[in-house]
Formats: sequence, structure tokens, C-alpha cells
Amino acid sequence: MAEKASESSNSISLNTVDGKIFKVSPTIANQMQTIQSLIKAYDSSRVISLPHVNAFHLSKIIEYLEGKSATTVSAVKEFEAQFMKDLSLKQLKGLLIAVGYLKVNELLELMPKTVAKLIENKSVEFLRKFFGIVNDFTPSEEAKIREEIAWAFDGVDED
Amino acid sequence: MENFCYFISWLCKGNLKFIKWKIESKRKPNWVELPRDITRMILKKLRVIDFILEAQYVCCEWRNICKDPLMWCTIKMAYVWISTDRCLCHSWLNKICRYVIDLSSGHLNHIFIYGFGDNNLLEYIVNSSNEIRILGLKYCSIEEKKLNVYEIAKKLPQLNELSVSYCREISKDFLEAIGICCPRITKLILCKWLHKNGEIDEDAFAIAKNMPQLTYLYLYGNKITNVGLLAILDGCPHLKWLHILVCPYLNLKGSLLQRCRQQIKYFHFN
Repeated sequence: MAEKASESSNSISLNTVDGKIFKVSPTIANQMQTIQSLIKAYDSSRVISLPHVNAFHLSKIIEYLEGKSATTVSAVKEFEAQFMKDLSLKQLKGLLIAVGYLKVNELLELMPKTVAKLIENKSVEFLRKFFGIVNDFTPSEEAKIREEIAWAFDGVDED
Repeated sequence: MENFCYFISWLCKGNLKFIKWKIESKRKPNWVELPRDITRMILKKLRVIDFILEAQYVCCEWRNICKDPLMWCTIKMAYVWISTDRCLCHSWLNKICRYVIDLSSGHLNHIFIYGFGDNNLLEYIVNSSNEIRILGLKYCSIEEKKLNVYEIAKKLPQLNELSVSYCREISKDFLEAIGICCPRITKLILCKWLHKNGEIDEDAFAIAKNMPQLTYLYLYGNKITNVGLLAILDGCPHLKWLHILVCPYLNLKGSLLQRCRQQIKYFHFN
């Protein structure tokens, strides 16, 4: 009982933008660099509010960090693949922003890789559509840079 | 009711597509507000050819990211099958590789080439930067006889880690040159096909004699014998990791095995 009490007094409270409070252990909290520096700067007993992170994203990050620490080294890849698979594209994007804000290094390695895999072997048009980006080159600019690597298309289309 | 009928006929007049598009665009997230550093991280994980041939034309920002030399400190490029002609494909990958090496403008420090590349590309790489710390060559067609190995090695003063796998003609001469000219080398990975020519123990002696500062050594398919291994144990006192795989001329037992286990912290053998 005494052990439990000390554990909960050690835990760190995080308040998300939608008003949910999460209690996490210091080991988990320290894997989010932004929170780590906040703990150092403030009294650790205080509730840390996270104005840019919602409850869903924070719960996913905690799920990942806890899940990974509980997984054996050989099963990590499988765990990571499953974790990414469960996310929709919309969730992936939101989570990526949250992860970037909280600076969760391991997810900052894994998630961009997953996104990169999604856009492998895709055309410019697909990429613009996928990311919702508007082409802001002027036609002459575009022609100019296309010319710059015209050699890359020489011979490839011929056969 | 009339209104409803009108709506239906309006739908049928090709507006269905528009509505479908509307619904779809709602379902798909808009990534525009993605912070720039996250975009950079995604693009960094993209295959070089996807980045160069497609992604850099998406918008000005992506183009600027592509032009940033710091994006190209590390270049990892693997063979991809693109056209029906293998030769064409090789020269094409060579060109793209040179293009990104140029983009790195001297900041290249880690390069890994897999499945393409020849002497000329190797020379191009070492001439592009004198900060290269990690060099990896796998399945490259390097012709060592036509290469001045000392000229190459001299241009790699910062080399820390060398990995040469299944490059047919790499011999003891290359290892010697690296050992002599690259005083910072601490990690060596050497994978070969056993049936290729080369004297017994020549690699082992070249390593033992010229790379005393090695801490990590990985040998696969090497003609090393007990004599060569003993030379390495004597010549490389800082070795902490030693992996010896598929080396049939080695007969590890007794005192030699005991010495390996004593001297090497992480010893792996099969």
C-alpha cells in the first residue's frame, strides 16, 4: 500500500486541451522531451497543461511508450507495425503533429518512416493530393527545374 | 417534392463527381499545417529517387528542403529496378547519386550504396567531401585493379566505419590502404563470397597489421584460419565486438576459443 502511494505521488499529471487529465510515470514522461524540460522547469507536483495535444493523441503516445517497454526486443518490429496499422490517415497526421510537439524521439523516427512508405513510388500529383498541397511554382519555374533533371528521364521512357 | 426532383436531376448532370470529391476531401486529412521540421523528417525517410524525381516538384517549400545540403549529409541509395535494361538502370542510378552528392555540397558524411556504382562513382564520392565518416558498399562493381586504392583512402581522413559487402574485387590491398591512410577507422564489416580468389589469411593479416584501433569487426565468408585470427587478436587489442560467420577454414576450439571469449566482450561465431 505504501509503495502504491509513493508511486502515485511520483506520477506526473498531464492535462490535454480537451480537459482530460492523464497520470503517467516519470519513465514515460521523460520519454517526451518537451514534458521532461517542463518537469525540470516547474514543480513536478503541478498539473502540466498541454494546449496542443488532445486526449486521443496523448493516449496513443502513452499506449506506444508503455507497449514498447513491455515488448521484448525481437517483437518490437511487430508491435510497431501493428501500432501504425491501427491508425487512420487522419489520426496519423494528428498524432504526428502531437509527437513533434512533445518530441517523442522514438515515434519521430518511426512515424515519418511510415508516412514515407505510404508515398513511395508516387507521382507529384499524388503527393500534392495526399498532402493537400497547392502547386505554387509558376509554369516557367516548373519548366526550369524540370529541365534541371531532364537527364533523369532520358532513355528511361524510350523502351 | 419538386425541389427534390430538381436536386436529383442536378445530381445526374455530372455534379455527382463534385459531390463525391467533396466527401472524399473531407475524409482525407489536409497535411498543410504540418510543421516544417516534420515535413523534413518525412522527406528524409523517402527513397532518394522518389525525392529527386517527384517530391521536389510538389511545391516551393519541398524544393527548398531538397536543395538544403544538410538534407544530404546521409545518403542511402539502393538499386531499384526501373527499366528493362539493367545497364541503363545502373547508369541512371549513378547519375541520380551524383546529383544528390552535388546537393550535399561537401557535407556528406555517411553514404551507403547498394546494388549499383562503380570505380567512377567511388572516386566521385571521395572527392565530394572530406568529412566522410561512414562508407558502405554492397554489391557494387568496383574493379580494384583499375583503382588507385591509396588515392581513394587518402581522401577519407575521417573514416570511422567501412562496410564492404560482396564487391567482387575488393582485396587485401584495399584494406591495407584504408588501414594506413585512415587512422580513425574503428569499425569494419567485410562480407565475401567464399569461392572468390584470394589467399588464405591475407585479409586477416592486412587487418591485423594496419588497423590496430579496430573495436568492431564483422567477417563473413572469409578465408581466415586460426593463424589469421590469432594475428587479429594480437594486432587489434581494442576489439570489443567480433563476429565471424561462414569461415570454414577456421577451426575454433581449445585455447584460441578461450582467448576469444576472454579478450572480446561480444564474440559471435558460427
